[in-house]
Amino acid sequence: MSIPAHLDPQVKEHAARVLAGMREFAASMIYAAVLTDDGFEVADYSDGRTDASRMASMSSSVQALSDAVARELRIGTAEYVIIASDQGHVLQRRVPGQPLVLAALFDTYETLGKAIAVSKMGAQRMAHSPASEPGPAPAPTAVPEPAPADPAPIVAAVPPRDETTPRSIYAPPVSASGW
Amino acid sequence: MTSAEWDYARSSAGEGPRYVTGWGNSAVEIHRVGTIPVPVTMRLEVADHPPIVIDFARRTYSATLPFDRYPIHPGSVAITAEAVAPGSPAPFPGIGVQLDGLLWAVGITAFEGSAAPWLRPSDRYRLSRWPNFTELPHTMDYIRMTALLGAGFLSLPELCAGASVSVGQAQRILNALSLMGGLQVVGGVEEPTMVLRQDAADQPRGLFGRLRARLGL
Amino acid sequence: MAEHVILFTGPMGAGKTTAIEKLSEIDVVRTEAANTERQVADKATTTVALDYGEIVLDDQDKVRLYGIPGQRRFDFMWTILKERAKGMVLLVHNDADDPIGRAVEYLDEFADLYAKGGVVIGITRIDIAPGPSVTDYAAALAVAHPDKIVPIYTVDPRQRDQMRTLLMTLVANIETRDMFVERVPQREELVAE
Repeated sequence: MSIPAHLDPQVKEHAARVLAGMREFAASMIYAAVLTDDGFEVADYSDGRTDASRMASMSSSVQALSDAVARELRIGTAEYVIIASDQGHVLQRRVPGQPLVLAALFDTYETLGKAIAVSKMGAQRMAHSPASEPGPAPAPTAVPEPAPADPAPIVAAVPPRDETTPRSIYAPPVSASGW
Repeated sequence: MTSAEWDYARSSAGEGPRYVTGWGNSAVEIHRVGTIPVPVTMRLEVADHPPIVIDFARRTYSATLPFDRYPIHPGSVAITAEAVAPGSPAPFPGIGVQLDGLLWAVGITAFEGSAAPWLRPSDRYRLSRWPNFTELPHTMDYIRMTALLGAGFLSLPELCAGASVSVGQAQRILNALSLMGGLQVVGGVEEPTMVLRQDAADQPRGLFGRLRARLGL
Repeated sequence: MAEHVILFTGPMGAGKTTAIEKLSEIDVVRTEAANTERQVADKATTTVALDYGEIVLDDQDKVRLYGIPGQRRFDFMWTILKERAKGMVLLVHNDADDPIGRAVEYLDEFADLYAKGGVVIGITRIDIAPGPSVTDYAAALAVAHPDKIVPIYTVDPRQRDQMRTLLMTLVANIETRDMFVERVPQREELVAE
């Protein structure tokens, strides 16, 4: 039986590097975690105010519920989930090909587009196992392309917008080199 | 227990076979022996059928035929009861099956809807433990009556009214539960603190009734 | 329209999802994830949010069956769902570590439902572990909660009839509690006092 990801030192170390890399790109990232599908924390980047274990469990439930909704509506696989609130937005998505989820909390100053892009980058890097790609992950050099091409997200909660301060939800497109 | 009490209990178990007619008289004997406070084994022999052997201490019994394969009205049942030393091996090979299954079957059928002789008309009853209904043949009325008995002390007429069942149906379950030792019984005329509401009869629009209809139970 | 929410609780591996599948009239909504705790329950997946099934009573009403994750780390789901629950089917697998202790733990966690008679216990996997017996469970619960008599059945969640017996027992137990009122003393009793 293989070692579960949350008990595997190599996977944990790799996950920690991925999260640190995300933080380099998005200073607005307040908290992020990689967790197993069944809600165990593999690694987290935290402000110290967030209970990482509890968040891992909740993110696991949210991901599974989102998958269930997508299945029920026959709209394919849930690519990512957004919980938008007035003091930040949570974005989470599955790690491609792995029984893992990446969840991140960004403050409201971050554009949603950048948050989506950064989380996508993190998930893609996390998908490469430490065994197949030993050594430190390459440092990102640019913010990746925002992710308007992603399949329809499942928005778990959307607060009323303040119409007096409209803003785009997407960051301007920038170079995607290195991603 | 003093040695005099022990001797009395042992002698209560009886010696040699007693011959009784029908399951009703057998139930009386089972009820009597089942309350003796020493380990007792019992053997019931119906002519031309394999014996039923009871180990009261372990609350198990053994029979090679299911109860419904025995005659409904056995002409003669030879009953032998014997007090045994604590820790004695079971009186049959293997571990037997739960005694409740036999006591339930005997209690439900033995008196054909009349009261068991150890119960009195003025008694009130309350459940002291739930029977394991997944192991016992049952109807939804039995479940509802058991739930009522679990909620408060009830007389026979109150049980009938609360569950909308006949006296015979209610009496059968009281006989069975009391034979299994699953009832608290209090005598006398004093009414309990909690009583059944006047409009408590089974409401077909209640969830139990609706679910029962939906599931065809 | 009344809301009839029944929870299915108990440790991971007790058979909650199977039980709901046997009772539900719709395809059960499942939220399963790969199980990394194979040493706790040797199964490939585990429920991480909820299972949902229903029995339709009529155009207006449904009995909603919610299975909740067994692991304590998902207790936020317990909190969300127990607020709405009318009753709870507690399934405990007999081959778990300290199954009686687990049962008592869940009853303490759902004390409100327990207090109003809204609990029935199903002991599963007795073919794997015949003991402890129903009597052992009843004795332990009588110590922890001497004022309540809880229905305790041995069950196989794969058996629809048994799951229906469990559900109907729960509903009967909840409804009959409401059929009793405090007795009003008769006039002569008051005079005597």
